[in-house]
Amino acid sequence: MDNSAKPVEIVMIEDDEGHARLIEKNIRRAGVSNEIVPFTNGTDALAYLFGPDGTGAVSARRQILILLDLNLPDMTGIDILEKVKDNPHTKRSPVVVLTTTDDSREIQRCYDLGANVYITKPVNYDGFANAIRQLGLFFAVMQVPETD
Amino acid sequence: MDAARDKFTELIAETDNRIVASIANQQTALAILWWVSIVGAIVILAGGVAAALLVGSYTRELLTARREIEVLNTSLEAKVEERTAELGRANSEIQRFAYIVTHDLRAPLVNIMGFTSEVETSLKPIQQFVAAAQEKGGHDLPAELVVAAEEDLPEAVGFIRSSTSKMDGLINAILKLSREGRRVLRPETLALDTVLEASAATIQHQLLDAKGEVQVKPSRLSVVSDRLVLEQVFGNLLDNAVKYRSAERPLSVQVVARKEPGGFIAIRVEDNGRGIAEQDLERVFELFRRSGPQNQPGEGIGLAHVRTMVRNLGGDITVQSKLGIGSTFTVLLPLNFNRIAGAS
Repeated sequence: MDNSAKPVEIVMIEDDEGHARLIEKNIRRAGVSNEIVPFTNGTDALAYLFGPDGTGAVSARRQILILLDLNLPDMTGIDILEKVKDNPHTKRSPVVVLTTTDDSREIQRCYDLGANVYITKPVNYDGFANAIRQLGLFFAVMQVPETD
Repeated sequence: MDAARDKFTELIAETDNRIVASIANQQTALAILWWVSIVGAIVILAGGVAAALLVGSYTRELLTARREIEVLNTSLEAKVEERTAELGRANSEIQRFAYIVTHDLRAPLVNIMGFTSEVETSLKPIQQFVAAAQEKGGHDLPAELVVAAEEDLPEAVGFIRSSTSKMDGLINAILKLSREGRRVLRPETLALDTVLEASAATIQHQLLDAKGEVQVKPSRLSVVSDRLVLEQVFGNLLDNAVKYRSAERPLSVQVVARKEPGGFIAIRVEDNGRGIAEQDLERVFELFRRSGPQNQPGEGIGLAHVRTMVRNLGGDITVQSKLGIGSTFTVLLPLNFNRIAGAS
């Protein structure tokens, strides 16, 4: 994912620190060495993505990929997804929803809002590790656009 | 001659007198009759008036009673509707609750499984190191270290793994049930015989192995309900009949349907299997509960699932059983699901 001068950074919004650590380990195992910026709540993640002024200007000319959990303590991931896809500076950033929910309405809603990939975290760990590793391999070959 | 005339005159006078007396009598009688008639007429009239009044008051009472019943009926209907709505809310709340709980339980479970896996992976080089050191005659290795690497740690990891996968199964079962409650039903007009035959066909293979038979008595009844759910319900019941058959006799299952009052239909699935002990009759429908010898694989989900499905269809399921003789499951279904759905 280092397809330009600026390396792509992965913004991981995941409230469960155990999950965050397991995701990071398994992405690394797939050979992805990009920087991972972790957030355990929505407020901090929004502050990072849209800056203190909330305009999203801080994300201009960044290359980010967002890994998003839907169940966050302070807001739902859907709120974040909506804001990211609504903002001119972040709307092109790929959003990968990675969550435990496999409710079909929820999945539809996320794609409607512009999510690029929706992955249900497999409950058994082998499946989970496997899914994350495959996601890592996918990250390794995907192009992430520079934001405006 | 005079004497004769006198006598004759006397006779006439006497007769006259008698006539006069009888006329007077008759007049009296007439007068009495007249009065009697008048009184009679008055009595009859009074009777009529009383009857009319009575009928009137009865009719009024009836009308009042009917109005009261109507009012009661409307309020009863309103009450039933209110209660049904309350039940519906409570039910969806429980389902929502089950859904949230299972999802929230899944997340830490992934961590437990994940880090157990990490421990296992890290354990391998340690075990290799210990094994290599022992081969070299490593008498300097502490005995506890060898035991820990070769026995205690793998054992602990094994128990953590088996417990988490069991918990995983239980959580998935609850999730399945809560999802069943959220499923959208697609009622259509179905020939009951066809549905029951289709359910029986799904266990044909097991039946051949068990040398048993299922008889679906044709009922020619049709029902408006969800085909998939019905097939699952009866497939599950028949599957249970095969699983819990008696070892002492070939399995025989009878499926009989008949109409019940109130727009319902009762389908009996009667087997000659091992039966259920009386104290377990209600328990078999509970989640994760099973009855009798545990010689069949299963988690105690099937009948809980069946009951949830049947209730979603607006019906209910009951069981009668004699231990060692057989069980009869009776599925009560509304003939027309739309009528039930429309009422709620």
